[in-house]
Amino acid sequence: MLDAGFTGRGERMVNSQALLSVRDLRKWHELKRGLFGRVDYVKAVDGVSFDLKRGEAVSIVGESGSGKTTLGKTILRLYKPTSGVILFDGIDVTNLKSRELREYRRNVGFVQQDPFGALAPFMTVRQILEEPLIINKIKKRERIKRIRSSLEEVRLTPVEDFINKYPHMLSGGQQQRLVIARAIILNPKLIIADEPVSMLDASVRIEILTLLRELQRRHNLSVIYITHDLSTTRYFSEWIYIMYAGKIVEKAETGEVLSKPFHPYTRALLNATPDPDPKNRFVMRDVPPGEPPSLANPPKGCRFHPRCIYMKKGLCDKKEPPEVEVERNHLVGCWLYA
Amino acid sequence: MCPPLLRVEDLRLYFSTRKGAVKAVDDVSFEVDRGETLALIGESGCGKSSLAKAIIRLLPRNVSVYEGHVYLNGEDLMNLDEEEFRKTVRWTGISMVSQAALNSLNPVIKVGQQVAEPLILHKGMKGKEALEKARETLQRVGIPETFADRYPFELSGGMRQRAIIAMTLITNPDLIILDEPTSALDVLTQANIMNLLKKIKRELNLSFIFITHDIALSSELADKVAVMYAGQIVELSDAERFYKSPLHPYSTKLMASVPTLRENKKLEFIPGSPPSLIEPPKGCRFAPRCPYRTEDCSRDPPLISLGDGCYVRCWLHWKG
Ligand SMILES: Nc1ncnc2c1ncn2[C@@H]1O[C@H](COP(=O)(O)OP(=O)(O)O)[C@@H](O)[C@H]1O
Ligand SMILES: Nc1ncnc2c1ncn2[C@@H]1O[C@H](COP(=O)(O)OP(=O)(O)O)[C@@H](O)[C@H]1O
Ligand SMILES: [Mg+2]
Ligand SMILES: [Mg+2]
Repeated sequence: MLDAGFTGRGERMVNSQALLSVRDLRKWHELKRGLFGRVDYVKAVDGVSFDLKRGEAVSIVGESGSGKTTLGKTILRLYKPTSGVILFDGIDVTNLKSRELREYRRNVGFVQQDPFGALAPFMTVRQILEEPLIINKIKKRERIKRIRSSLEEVRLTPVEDFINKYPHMLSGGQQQRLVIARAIILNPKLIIADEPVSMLDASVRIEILTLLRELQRRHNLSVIYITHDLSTTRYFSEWIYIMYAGKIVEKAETGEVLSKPFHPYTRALLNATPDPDPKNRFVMRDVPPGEPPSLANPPKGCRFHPRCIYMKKGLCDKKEPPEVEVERNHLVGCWLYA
Repeated sequence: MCPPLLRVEDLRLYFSTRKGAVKAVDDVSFEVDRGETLALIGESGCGKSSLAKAIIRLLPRNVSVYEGHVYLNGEDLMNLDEEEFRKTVRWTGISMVSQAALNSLNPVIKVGQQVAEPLILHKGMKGKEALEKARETLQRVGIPETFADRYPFELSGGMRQRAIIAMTLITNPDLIILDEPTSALDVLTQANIMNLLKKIKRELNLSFIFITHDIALSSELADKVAVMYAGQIVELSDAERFYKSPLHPYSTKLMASVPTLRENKKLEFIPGSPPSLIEPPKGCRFAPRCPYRTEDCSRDPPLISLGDGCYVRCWLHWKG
């Protein structure tokens, strides 16, 4: 059953190197309508499969509303999956409950978009970091040691200058460092960072992403870096998965996606993202008009077809495209290549 | 010789707060020619929006200092009283897409009506005629004219931003200030809006002040670039020069922090954070974070002219 996700070569199937394997994962948010008790769904994650190796980082790139946060929170098991399988370190965590679920969550650190919103305003840095340790019944002496070392890891140093501060006394960048310190304090194997830098200024962004990268390498962490900004992916991840309307439409190594994008949507994202260049002002960007579809009622067939110039009538608007391995380890969900 | 379209000279805008005066705009000078776009860039909090407000004179209540000169077509707007300014400058001479514009449309008034409003209020046009013009302008920005009869919530974010752009265009101003016009939008929608702005710029020979914290994006429109740091302009360059080789250490470091999609480079960041605008550092305001600082930097650097309309506020470039 686990082999169902990838059509490609054997080594990309579930194997011992994969820390995380996600198969045909769905998370449909319920939208209750009063009338006749009918239930509608927002199909925020609708059939997602991938593997993530130990020590590697993947960027999940997509526009807002494409289902990135839902995917992250479902993997974290903050949401209950509608269907599909999540395997973590060889264990099926799809339906874990209570104590086992807590055990699993210790292994997955979460970094949210808005650091200030993620931090309780009435708690000091020390209390914020101590909370997960207390919940996990870690002894007092060990707690203090861990708090110190995690603050050092994110370079909120000297520790004494920060430990008694409240979140509002920290800059946006420092707040995000604190969130990262909390995310790593239980020594997780995986970090899910959901748009960790989108509220920060350019220079602070690089500072924070560089820090995440260092932590990844130092502790052989796996990282899921969720972003809408393709330009940072080149520097901070081994893999890029492109998400559109609840599905991953392209998966490959970072350099491959950036230099040889196959999916028309990936190409559009690349075309739409400028590099600083004085020539830009003289050229129009080749991007499709329109906006992503509603996930309560997504288009039939390929979800990108209403905006796609290569759309083949009777095919793309009727049948869902298969995932095709266009090159080694380069998977694309598009009829152009089927 | 004909004066530049806009000339800002020694402009200051301070806000009074309990902790002291916030020097949000502190001695700013620059020019914008007809048909030219000036991109105003810098980290958040450096005073970009305040500068925009000072130019179009949309000031909050707690202003403590507002002085200097703003010449539009050679006329000093600082000599106009509020009534004259409202009648002859705002919307008709200079209009603005403000930073929060996307949420500023009135939810209970139809889009066409709202786009027509500046014509009625500022040009004294009759309702019916104005509405006709609104439909025309909506079409020009890529909104089908039937959308004029819809309410804002019936439009997507991109469409609403187009409607707001239509509103700033409809009075035929000489200059449009765009304050982060796409920062709430997605990548593809943003690219579509930038395409629209490029088209408008070319067709109407309009001038823009394009405010953004996104350096890569600024190059989509900029003919000239002004870099702001702690309430001051620290570099003013033409686009060709700026994006290839910025001059001020702040600009250089900022550019080094921009991740590029099409080539690999070594990314850097600037340690520390921008200073308080209440008590900015003495001398060069960037000095505390600057890797090239010398003893000179404890004195205020002047805005040094490098010819061709390029200026830099840094002692490294002083040849006096
Ligand atoms: N808790 C929820 N209940 C209902 N709908 C939701 C919920 N969370 C997200 N959605 C919807 O699911 C879709 C995907 O949202 P999200 O996962 O937040 O995407 P992204 O993070 O890519 O912006 C959106 O249409 C959003 O409105
Ligand atoms: N009405 C105000 N009263 C006090 N401080 C203000 C006011 N408006 C803006 N500021 C402050 O002025 C500085 C510049 O802000 P702003 O012009 O919005 O910067 P930017 O647009 O570059 O982000 C910031 O420190 C901001 O907090
Ligand atoms: Mg999200
Ligand atoms: Mg601003």
